Amino acid sequence: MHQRRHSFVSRIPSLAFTLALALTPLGCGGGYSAGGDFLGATPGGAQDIGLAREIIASGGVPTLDDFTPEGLYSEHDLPLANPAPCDKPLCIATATGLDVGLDDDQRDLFVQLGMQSNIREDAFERKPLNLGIVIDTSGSMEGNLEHVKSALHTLVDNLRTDDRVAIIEFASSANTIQESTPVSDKETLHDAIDELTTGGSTSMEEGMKLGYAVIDDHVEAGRLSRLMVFTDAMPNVGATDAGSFQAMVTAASALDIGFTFFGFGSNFDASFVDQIGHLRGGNYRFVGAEDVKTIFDEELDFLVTPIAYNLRVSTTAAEGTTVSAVYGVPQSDEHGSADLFDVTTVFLSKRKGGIVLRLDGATLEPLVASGAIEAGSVTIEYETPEGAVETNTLAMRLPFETFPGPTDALLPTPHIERTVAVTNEYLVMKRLCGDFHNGTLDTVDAATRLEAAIARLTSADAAQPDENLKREISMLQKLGANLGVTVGAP
Amino acid sequence: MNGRHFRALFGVLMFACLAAAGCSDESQRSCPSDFTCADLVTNTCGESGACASSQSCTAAKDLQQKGDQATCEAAWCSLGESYKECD
Repeated sequence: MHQRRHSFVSRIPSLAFTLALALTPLGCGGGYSAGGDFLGATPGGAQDIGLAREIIASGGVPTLDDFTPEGLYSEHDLPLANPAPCDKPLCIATATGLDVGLDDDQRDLFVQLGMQSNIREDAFERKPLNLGIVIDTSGSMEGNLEHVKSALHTLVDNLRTDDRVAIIEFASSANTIQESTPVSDKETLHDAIDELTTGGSTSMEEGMKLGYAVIDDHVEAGRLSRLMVFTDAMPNVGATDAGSFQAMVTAASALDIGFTFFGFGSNFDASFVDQIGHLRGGNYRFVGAEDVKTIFDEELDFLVTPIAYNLRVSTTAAEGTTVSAVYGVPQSDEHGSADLFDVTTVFLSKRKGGIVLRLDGATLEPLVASGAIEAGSVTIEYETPEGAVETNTLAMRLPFETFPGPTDALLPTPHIERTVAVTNEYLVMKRLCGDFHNGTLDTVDAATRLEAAIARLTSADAAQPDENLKREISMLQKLGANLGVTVGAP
Repeated sequence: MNGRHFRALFGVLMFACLAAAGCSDESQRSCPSDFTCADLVTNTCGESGACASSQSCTAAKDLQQKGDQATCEAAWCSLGESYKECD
């Protein structure tokens, strides 16, 4: 058994090593970032756009349900250039840039709400877990079973002896494979994983209910209680509507039991999970063929560690501009408007995440004061896991040496340049994939937008080399090919 | 009829009975149509507040305060075991 697990790992080290290098805090050595090896933070909900990446890599075009801006941001380390010293587990600061939005060609202000923590990576130790592992073994998971097993084996390898774990499987019905037990005998857990087989329908509701019931007795202060669901998210027995699962996880979160969905297979219903994963204590991750080690060796401790709840953001735009859009808020339509919105949960992360506000930049002159474009302010309020409330008010301010011309971009640091480039990548993907699936794609216009997005990513990568940006450029080029669009070299 | 078939038939009959009572399976409680968050609080905290210090009671009161009827029903009818009844 061990030999087989090792053989799987041996197939992915080169990519894992590459990713590890890429994920090393790039902002820390560039002379701009304060904080060295301080950890970051990311909103809950989607933690990647892995499904869209897989669809594009296999020659397809993702739908708008297959990727989110918060997923894309969460894959990137987006530190601010000169953040104020951070003395709390979650600190939020702002940085502003001016650039054309490549979805509608309007030049707008982009304000990043950058998230970082005062927790040092080398000093961080997660709390012990009260973990319920819920595994979808229905027939639709047949092609994913070995991949799921690899993920589960790696997960078990990364549990500690002070953790508790229970294992539940569900197909047509749900069964407890392992009652909640201290992680003292990993071989028993590995053996149970090896014996998993697939077949039958998908009673995800029953599986999750059983999972909650099994770990409920062990919810206690000082222990992180969490249900992890390994699934393609296609329930067809019992409750099949997102609303039923929303109510269930909300009720469980009131008991301090969080949840993480791990999605498998190209049929993974990301849209369904996105409707659940934005709720308190929730997040989800698509597990691509080469992601197992990254997720379960390197990110596990952060995926289970919330550092803030009910983050509320209210914006006050200066006269002459308005907040027209917010990117990076899970299920933003259900969480307020551009002026006032909330994020149910913020998790600790190896990467410094962000939310991006977009403000109308059509008329900048009235906003100018003292060598800067003063676009207004944003007020932040959140609760710590211990129940304390933190508040702060931040300026949305873009300093300039020379007032930008009518079509100029103004990106004062490589950091905000990277954030705006990634935002524009999302906007172009959204526009082109939407047009493609609506049958309205203009290939000439699409080529122009793709080239502009690639040019921005290339420039950001030149300013601050980042393997993740190179990966985005490759993905956009492949998306162009899939759309039948000829994209020139940047 | 051998033992395995008997157990299977028993399971089917049990499931049917529970379904008729409004439960989809053995672990699910039946919620009356007029179930409210106040019922959840009473069930978890106890008529006289005997279980007022339990986590389920605290969570139930939070849900009642929010007026989230769907979640109150889910707490009692779906999660069942996770929201302990006050004995």
